[in-house]
Amino acid sequence: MEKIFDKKLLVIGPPRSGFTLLINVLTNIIRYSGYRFKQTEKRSFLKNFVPLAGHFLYSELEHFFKKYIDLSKLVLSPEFKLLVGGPKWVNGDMAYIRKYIGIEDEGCFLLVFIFPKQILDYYEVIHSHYNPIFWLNDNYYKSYLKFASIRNPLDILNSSVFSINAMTGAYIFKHNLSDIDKIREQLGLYKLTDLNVFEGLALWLKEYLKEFLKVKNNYFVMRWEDLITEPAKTIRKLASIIGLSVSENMALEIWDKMKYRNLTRWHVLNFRKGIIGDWKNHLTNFHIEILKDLGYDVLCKELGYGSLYYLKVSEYTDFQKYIEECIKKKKIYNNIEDKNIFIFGFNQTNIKTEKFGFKSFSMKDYHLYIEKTTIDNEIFFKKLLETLEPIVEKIGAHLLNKLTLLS
Amino acid sequence: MDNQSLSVYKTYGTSFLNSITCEKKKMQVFKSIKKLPYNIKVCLYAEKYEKILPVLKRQRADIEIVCLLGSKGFEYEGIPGIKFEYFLKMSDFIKEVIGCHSVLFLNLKEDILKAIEDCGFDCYLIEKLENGENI
Repeated sequence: MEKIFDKKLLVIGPPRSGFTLLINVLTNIIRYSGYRFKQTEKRSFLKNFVPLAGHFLYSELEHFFKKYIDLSKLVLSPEFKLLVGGPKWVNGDMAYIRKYIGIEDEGCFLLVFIFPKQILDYYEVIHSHYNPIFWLNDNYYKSYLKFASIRNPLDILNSSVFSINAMTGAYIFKHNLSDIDKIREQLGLYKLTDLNVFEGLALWLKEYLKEFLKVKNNYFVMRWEDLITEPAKTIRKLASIIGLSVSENMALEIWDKMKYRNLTRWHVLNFRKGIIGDWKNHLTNFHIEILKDLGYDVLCKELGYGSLYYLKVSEYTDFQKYIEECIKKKKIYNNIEDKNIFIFGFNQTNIKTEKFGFKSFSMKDYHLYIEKTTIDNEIFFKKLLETLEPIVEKIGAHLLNKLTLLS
Repeated sequence: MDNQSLSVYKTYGTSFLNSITCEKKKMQVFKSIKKLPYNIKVCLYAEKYEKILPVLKRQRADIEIVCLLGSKGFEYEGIPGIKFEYFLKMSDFIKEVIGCHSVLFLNLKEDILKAIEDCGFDCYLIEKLENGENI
């Protein structure tokens, strides 16, 4: 008979740090131990309301697009059709949920919805890539057991440059593009030869890590490297933190079912098999120099990954040699034939983009805004915001009302 | 912005919930799906969605399917499946926000029909439906 697991769990971590792995390990520990998450009336309501409201909002979004663009050019990951799908963070009482939307041959934009933060209780494990300090100070999350994933920052950055975001993934599936490895490599070549991009990624991660280091002792930290090298031990340790006991065999069984595979439902191209120290095969001393200037020496040491060091140029891989040659010649790799892949794959998120001149649009007191876009069309975005605002407002109001009644 | 957003949600929510009325409707029976009113939004009740949905979508593209009713949460072809008890709890939202006032029954389920009628939805039943043949 299934037992009820009634503790509340929260996971934070930067993308590419074992974040999704950690969420899945925790969920699987509970499942394999014969427990299931407590289904409160509130969560049961959200499990029904969120898909319904998300489907409605997406239909309205589609109606809007029909008026202005050729709908066949719309690129949106199915993940984002769920109301809570996409990167999320909380500020005060409100949850911010980001949707990444592309229009082929036009560009892309980040649309952020603002809902009462209770909407995130849809998830059994609350999770976010942002604001390590916030979750500790907010009373609403006081009783949560808080976990954080961390990985060598150099490997996080290395993984980031090769990552294929959800929107690019949706575009690749839509057009049935097959050479995923080539696309990954091309995106990596671009991001490593454009030092502004690399610096933007490193700046974003630096800000996260600086904030995290101030409070890391308040989180149960899972090192990605520990999970990879000692999975059973790491899983058993995580189990004991949540008050469950897992045998060595069960821990290995859990790991076997999830290692080296995509663990997200929709974002399937997000997965790339991680290798400890793989940064040494792709980054060059130009990148190390940037990281040193940004203070990564201290960050890496404080996280327990030792000081930064330069690589031996004589031991560079062919990939590194090519990158170095491009950087020396100030040549940014741009041989990506499909410009949509190039634009969608840029990754406007988790990167400081001040140098790239993206636009943003917002309207006072609205519950949604355009965080960043490559499309310079104020009228289009004004209309989009005006069309969706009454719907988003009604969804938020209804949600808050029902949840208040339920509690 | 945050506190303001929340207070807007609170004020709005109160007035909008107060405005909801609930008038009991009677079921209408149609011989074929082709006879249904045009351009309506419906929630759907069927025993086998995988058989019915493709036919419905093909023959009546003007009908917008808001959700599927079932005994558990699920999703079919991107359309959310809603547990019946939560459908009733969200009936105000479905009517007032989504603008859906109709439930289409492709199989008759009396107890569900009665509860939905009591909630003020227009209920449509398609008669003699066999494997989607006579839709």
